[in-house]
Amino acid sequence: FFFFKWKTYNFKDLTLFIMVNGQKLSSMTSVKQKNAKRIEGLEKNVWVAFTSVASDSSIVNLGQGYPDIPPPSYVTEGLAQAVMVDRLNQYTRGFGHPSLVKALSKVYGKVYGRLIDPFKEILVTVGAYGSLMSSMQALVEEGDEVVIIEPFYDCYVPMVRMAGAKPVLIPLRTKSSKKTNFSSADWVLDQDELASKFNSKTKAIIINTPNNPIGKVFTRSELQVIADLCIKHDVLCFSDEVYEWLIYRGHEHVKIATLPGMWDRTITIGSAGKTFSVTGWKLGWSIGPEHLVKHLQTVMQNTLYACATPLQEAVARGLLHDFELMEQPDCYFSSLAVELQGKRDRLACILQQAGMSPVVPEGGYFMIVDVTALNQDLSHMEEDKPYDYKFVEWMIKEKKLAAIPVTAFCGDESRKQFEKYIRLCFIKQDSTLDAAATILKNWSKA
Amino acid sequence: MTGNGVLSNDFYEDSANAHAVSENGVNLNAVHLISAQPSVSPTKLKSRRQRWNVRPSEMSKNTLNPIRAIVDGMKLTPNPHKSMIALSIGDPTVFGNLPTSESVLQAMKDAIDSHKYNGYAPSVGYQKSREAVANFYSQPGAPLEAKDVVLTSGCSQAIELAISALCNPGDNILVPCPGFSLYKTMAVSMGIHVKLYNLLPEKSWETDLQQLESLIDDKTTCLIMNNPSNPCGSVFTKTHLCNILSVASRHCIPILADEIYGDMVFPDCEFHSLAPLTRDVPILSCGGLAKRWLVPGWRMGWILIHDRNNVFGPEIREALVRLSQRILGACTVVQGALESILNSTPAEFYQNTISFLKSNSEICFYELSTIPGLTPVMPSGAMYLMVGIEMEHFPEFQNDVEFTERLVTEESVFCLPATAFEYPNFFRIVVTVPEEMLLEACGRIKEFCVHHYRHLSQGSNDLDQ
Repeated sequence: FFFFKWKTYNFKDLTLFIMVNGQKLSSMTSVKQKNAKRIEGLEKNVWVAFTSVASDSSIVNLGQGYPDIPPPSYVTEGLAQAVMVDRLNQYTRGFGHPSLVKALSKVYGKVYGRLIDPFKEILVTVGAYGSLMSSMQALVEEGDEVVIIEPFYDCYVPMVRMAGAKPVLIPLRTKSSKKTNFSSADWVLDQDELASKFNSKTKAIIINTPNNPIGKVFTRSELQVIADLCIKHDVLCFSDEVYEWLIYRGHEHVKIATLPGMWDRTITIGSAGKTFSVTGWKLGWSIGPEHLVKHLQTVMQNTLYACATPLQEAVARGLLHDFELMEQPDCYFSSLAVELQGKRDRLACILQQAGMSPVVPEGGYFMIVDVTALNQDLSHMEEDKPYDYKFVEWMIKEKKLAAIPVTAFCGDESRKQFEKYIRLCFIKQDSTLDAAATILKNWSKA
Repeated sequence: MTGNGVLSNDFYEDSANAHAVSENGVNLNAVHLISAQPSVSPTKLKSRRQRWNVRPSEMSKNTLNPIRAIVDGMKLTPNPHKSMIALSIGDPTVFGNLPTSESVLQAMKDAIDSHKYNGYAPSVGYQKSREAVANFYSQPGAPLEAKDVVLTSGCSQAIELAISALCNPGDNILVPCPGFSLYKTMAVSMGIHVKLYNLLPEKSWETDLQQLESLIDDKTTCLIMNNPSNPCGSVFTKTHLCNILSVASRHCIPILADEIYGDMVFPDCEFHSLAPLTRDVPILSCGGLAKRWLVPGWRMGWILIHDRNNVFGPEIREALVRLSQRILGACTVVQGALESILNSTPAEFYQNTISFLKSNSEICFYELSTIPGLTPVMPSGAMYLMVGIEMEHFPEFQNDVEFTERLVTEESVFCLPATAFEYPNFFRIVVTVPEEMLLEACGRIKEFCVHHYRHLSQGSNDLDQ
């Protein structure tokens, strides 16, 4: 059931027989059946490999990052109501359904502390993926360089490459010599190293805060360092902030677009799926200055045109509902974070009690954990894969517990740094966490 | 004085003499009247006192609740800007988030509606109710019948009965440290001495067996054990229980086993009742509805008499019966409901309670383990968590009492200083509160500790952390 292959292959390695004008031709000769250069080398995808695991219900799945807790009822009810209104089942405004962009303008106007034009400074896309793709296609030129921080959400690199540009990677590194109680705050960028990645070819930097998979929440001063470089080199910033509301006590989400000089060069990306725990709805948005957003709109109108109308209406109603409650404890934007903090702490405790060293996140709903202490001998697994891939494969088969290998989020050069880590998702029901706890507790028993 | 030795009222009502003072300032009324009237015989001095002088008894003076004493001595003025979060009271019902089972409530309603449980019951409880308890707790290694069960008004009364049946004034009993303060309160109240035996935090609060054994002398009449433990939340392994039993066996000391938190252990741990593990050591196992069924106010407890070696014999049993006649036992309505409560409560109720307590314990343990200067100890059951304070890093505070007092003043979070349990430099958290409240409290404790923490290398000059 584990379909993933580490070694990349493409259609050149297969022999296909095609009927053309009644004559058989092998694919070796049919250049026209081959993939376009822009997707060359992009076949492997960790999610495609791991979704199959989710279907086996005997496996405790802390792998793929989606909630198994229900979304707020007013959101799903909003969809049921929207779909009953006939005109809401037909096309809506391509750049975003009016009630949704107005709701986004209201909510983010408050968050940013500035007036955001709903029609010119917001684009609604098919998931945050859609915003990332539109940004890259709209603004990144062939031959450009784009700085990406490792570990990175895995689609950034393929998207940069599809735009014909070059990904320039820089890893987060652990700064402290602590022996225990690791936090995502301990992983930082080396300032000199970061500065060295910028040059005249750099078009953009992609940041993700809170970060998937580590859960790091970039501080104001860390963002300032990045902003300074963006301004110095006249570089754009794509800020993936899909987990912006999932911030744990004692930490603050800072939007780089609010730093001086940054609004005009930043596209900030958000997600309905992550905000309302409805990952299957695939609605996201880009917020930024008109002179950049208009290019994203050009891509949108010529690719996907518009997003699903009733879903946009439902998200709009959900946003307005929680806008009224902002700053109060029942606002879903903050109550989900409180609920998840308990789960985060439980998972951290469970992992520590099992002898492992979790990196406890400041935000988001993932936790990476160093499995070195388990001393799991995997020498019987022959393939030349990173340790974490082999570990996860083994763990799924032998322990019935699924996770995601962290090297899926890194370039080859950083493999050694991250190959002892696996990523666990904790936006799961308590019973799922309990089941994981039992497996971990009994790890060393035969 | 009149002739019969009674002091005349005139002596007192003479206002001129009432405050009569001699030349050297001595209040003449305070002068011993015997010396003023040497001719009066001693028998005639069994005087009716004519001045009010009602003093509290020696027993009452000896009855001290250390928790009360400590708490009353603390200046508990919470921070007006922060809502009070009390993590101090071992009462799961305070916030309404841990209601008892519907079946328990229904059993009470049925008992009332039956009209059968309004009169006096036998002082040791209704036969049927005792049978229900016996059947519920009977095990192959430790069978129980109704005659082995004494129903009491709460587990506290069970403990009181047990101690007063086994011990005389001047005897001593062995009490765990840290341990529930009631054992000492009761013992001292009755003129019984208390010797504290140590529990070791680094070994999940297991008993220091050598130290325990060294305390035993010829006046030791009882060993009190509490498993699972208040305040530690620890659960003893079977091996450890057997080790303690061997000490008791060697020295022929009976055991009072406070098992009020029995079966309230987290899923990955096992609770072992003490009685089935021994054939020779007699055990009075105390328990009740309070914690496991979440109704501490109902005052329903019991003593289970385990005496397979016939050490207690009929005498101790009769002693318990006689002593139970002092207050005639538990509320009859609850006794009437008892059979149904024990037999009809669904398993999910117990599991849900435990899940909740475990989840809260894990959250609390994790949060506190990230705070410099604090060392929480992960519990395995009950509803508590003990946290060690590295006092050397908090030079502003002398002890846990000052630490917890200031925590209230600054952060409106109240945890009991473990001095109340004879264990300074720790504090106890109750994990029954709603999760959000617990998280909020942990966050405030973190702020408090970060604010007051000092690294060892610094002198008192450097106050800015």
